[in-house]
Amino acid sequence: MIRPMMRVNTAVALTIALASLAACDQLPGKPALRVAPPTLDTAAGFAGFYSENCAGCHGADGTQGPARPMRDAVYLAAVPDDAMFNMLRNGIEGTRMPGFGGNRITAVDDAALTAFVKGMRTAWGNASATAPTNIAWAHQPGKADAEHGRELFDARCVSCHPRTQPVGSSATVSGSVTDPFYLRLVSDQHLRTSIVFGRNDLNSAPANMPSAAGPFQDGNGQRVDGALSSSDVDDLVAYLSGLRSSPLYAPPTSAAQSKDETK
Amino acid sequence: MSEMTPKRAIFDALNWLDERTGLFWILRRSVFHRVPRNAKWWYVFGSATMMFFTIQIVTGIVLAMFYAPSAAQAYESLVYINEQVPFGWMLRAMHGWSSNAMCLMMLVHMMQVFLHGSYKYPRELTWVAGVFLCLTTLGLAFTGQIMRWDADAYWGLGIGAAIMDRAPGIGNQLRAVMLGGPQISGATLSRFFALHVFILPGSAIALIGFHLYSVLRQGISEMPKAGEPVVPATYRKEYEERTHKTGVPFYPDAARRDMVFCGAALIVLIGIAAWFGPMGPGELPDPTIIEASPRPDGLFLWIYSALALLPPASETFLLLAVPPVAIAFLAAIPFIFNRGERAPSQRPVSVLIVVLLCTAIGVLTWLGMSSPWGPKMDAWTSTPTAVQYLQQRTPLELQGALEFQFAQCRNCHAIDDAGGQRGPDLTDVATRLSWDQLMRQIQQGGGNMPAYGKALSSSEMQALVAFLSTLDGGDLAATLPGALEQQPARDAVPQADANPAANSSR
Amino acid sequence: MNQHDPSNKPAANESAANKPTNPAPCGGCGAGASENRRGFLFAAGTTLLTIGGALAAVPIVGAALAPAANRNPNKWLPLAKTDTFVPGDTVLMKFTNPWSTPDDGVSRENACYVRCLEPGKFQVFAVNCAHLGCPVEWFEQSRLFMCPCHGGVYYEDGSRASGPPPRGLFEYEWRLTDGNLEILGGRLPGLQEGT
Repeated sequence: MIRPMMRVNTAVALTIALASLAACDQLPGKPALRVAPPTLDTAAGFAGFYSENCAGCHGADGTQGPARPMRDAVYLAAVPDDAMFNMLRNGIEGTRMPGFGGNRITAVDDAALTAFVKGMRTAWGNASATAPTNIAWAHQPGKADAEHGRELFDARCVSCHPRTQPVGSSATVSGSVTDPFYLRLVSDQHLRTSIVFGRNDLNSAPANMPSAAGPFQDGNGQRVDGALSSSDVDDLVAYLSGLRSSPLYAPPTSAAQSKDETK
Repeated sequence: MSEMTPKRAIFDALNWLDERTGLFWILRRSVFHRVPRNAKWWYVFGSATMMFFTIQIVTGIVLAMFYAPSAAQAYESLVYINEQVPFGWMLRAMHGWSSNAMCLMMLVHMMQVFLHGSYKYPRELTWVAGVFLCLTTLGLAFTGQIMRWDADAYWGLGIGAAIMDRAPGIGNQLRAVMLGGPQISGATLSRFFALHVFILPGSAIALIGFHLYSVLRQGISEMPKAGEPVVPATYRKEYEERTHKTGVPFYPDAARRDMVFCGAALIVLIGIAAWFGPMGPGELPDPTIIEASPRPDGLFLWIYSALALLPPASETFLLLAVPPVAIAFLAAIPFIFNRGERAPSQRPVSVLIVVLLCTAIGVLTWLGMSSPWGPKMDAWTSTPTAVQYLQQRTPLELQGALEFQFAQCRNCHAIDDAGGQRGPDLTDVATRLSWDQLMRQIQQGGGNMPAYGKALSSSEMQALVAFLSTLDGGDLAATLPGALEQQPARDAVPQADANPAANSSR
Repeated sequence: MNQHDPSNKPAANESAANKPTNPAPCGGCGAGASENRRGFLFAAGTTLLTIGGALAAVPIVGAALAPAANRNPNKWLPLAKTDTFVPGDTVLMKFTNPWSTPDDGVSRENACYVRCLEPGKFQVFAVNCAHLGCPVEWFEQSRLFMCPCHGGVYYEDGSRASGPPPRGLFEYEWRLTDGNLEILGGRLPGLQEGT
């Protein structure tokens, strides 16, 4: 009685031992081989870096964050690589965009940031996308007609962006952009980018912010067609910029970054 | 001369061995000693602890064949064991999980002995040895975590050093001896290696020897019965009479249950090891990588939690005075409560203590896993705000949402459960705090929040409060509570901002 | 300290070696003399073992406890040229543990935060939280140091802002030598500064 039992036991034990030998490589606990993390120009590398470092402000999928949506082929096509790289590396002075590169020990190195720009273009870009009116993306300080800007503002912006926020309203306006507090938090470049590329990802009231191609609304809420010209945008920015009561507030990082750039 | 059969030859050889060594007597005594008949499933945990200890010794020895106990190479050698050594990862997994299992079984065993009052006369020293075994085992677990020599190990040592440093007078010296120098370094790993593979296992083996010897000498305690108190004057005689009359030999009668339990536990262990794999190594032990969020292993998480929750003023005292006093009290229990009832039903305070301790440790461990007191260090760049809190907001409110990330508010404050847990969730903060109160809270801090007055400009502050004023739990989609013109406290124009960077040069 | 170490080889050999040189007890001597001799041998053995054990303990205990005797664990360590620091900035800097050995691997490098108040004026903070030594991270946007372990927070001047730390961040002493910023470091910063 005992002996056959023992034989069965031995057979079972042997089978288990052999099976585990064979299966050892497929067990779920086997740690994955350590591989170098994917570079940032690959889809996985880009997505990982983005969700760790950008998603907080630019939105989980590149849109619908409080900051400028990056999943915007038109915007990506308009901004050249070196400008994008500079913004990533050094941040943008006067705004809430921090620099991720530089000479700090904790900084992301330049090669990785270059790869990231490439990865972003691969993921979200589209080389054939062009700005609707071919208006240069970059703000150039220079002479612009702020008075013309004010006229344009009255004709095309003020119905959504009234100069004073009406009490309790929500359905018909999306809020003031002439608010002095707001203006001190955004750069002229931010204003220009918003005007040129619009903001169509956030479901704003009463309508999404159009790009420079329009259509707009006049002061009475009537549709106004016709794109803004490059100089129109300059003038609008000059007008808004002039409403700042004092120079643009520089966040604390700016000193370090400007120093950094000169190195 | 009698005929030489193989059976006879073996018997002769064994007799020879017994005659020369005298060891069989001990073996017979330990294997066939009589144990109380009612020593049933409650008694298997000690055996299981010892089985896991054996696993630790065996896997530890094989791991030592591959592990390089040098700070420069330890990490790489662990990766090598994980990836290159045949079955190496499984060995590490078994060693790691068996360590947890050993501690768990030991604690259950200790609890059972405590609840059954088995530590009373005449088994006082068995208990004392057990208390020291418990300390040795926890020491092995902690030093084992250091062997992993990753960021958790490095900063775990930092925490140990910081605790040592609090000792008045001798803290500095204690810490230097622990670290093997003024700073955590290769010498520290060497010290902990000596502890982990020589000193502590050696102590454990010696203590287990004494523990088992005591068990054999005093006999296994019977299941406690209410109304049968321990009376030292008569206990031993009665126990011997009872076990002689009704007892059964340890082998095979009682050992069967131990074998079944240990066998099952071993298979479960191997299953867990195969399924969950080895622990770490985690990040590199490079102290210049400061983006580390050190966490101790599960066993020590409750201590980690307690350190977050203790009132800071009493912390040094509690850290330095409570452990020795608690250990001394634990060891003194059998001398203080030497006689009397053993049944848990007659000792409600003991039961209550066990329940309270288990609950407290369980809750602290659970807290330690989520660690709600620690900021989520990367939340400000990685945790997006749910779209519903951003849609149909004014440009200023959107800038406020941006500021909420930029000023790292998100590291401590969640919106819709996303973000740090250190501060209150702000999903409906607008229903609790008015514009003024929000402004004041941000500027002056308070209630464990740092003051942001110097770090934020008035525009940033206005935008932030405008955004926070829209957080009413998500009920209202629009800008109503944030509409700036409704707020009497709002400044008409921004104040001239002093640049904090310039400020700081004061 | 183990003064009497029975496993101590040299002492044991010594006492064993003493035995054969002693003459065997004579049969004719009185019981008192034999008693005296035995007493003397026991006393001698105890003494020799104690001395031997104590001698052996010196290197054993000495080596193990040597780190406690290091009364001057800090050295002046160069960080960087002072003009690399921007006033108003706080940056993480690396320095090498002055007590490092080739065996230390990546743990050889240590870190500190340098806050430049104005050209030539600094505060140098330890990365170790004053609570339990976890690494604090500097956030230049909110101008706070935050600790991931138990939520200690410090302001940019190192003072405690919130959480369990009993004090502000530890600071290194610093000096300027030939335009170089140097700090007095080496000991893992803790509540008890090195004596």
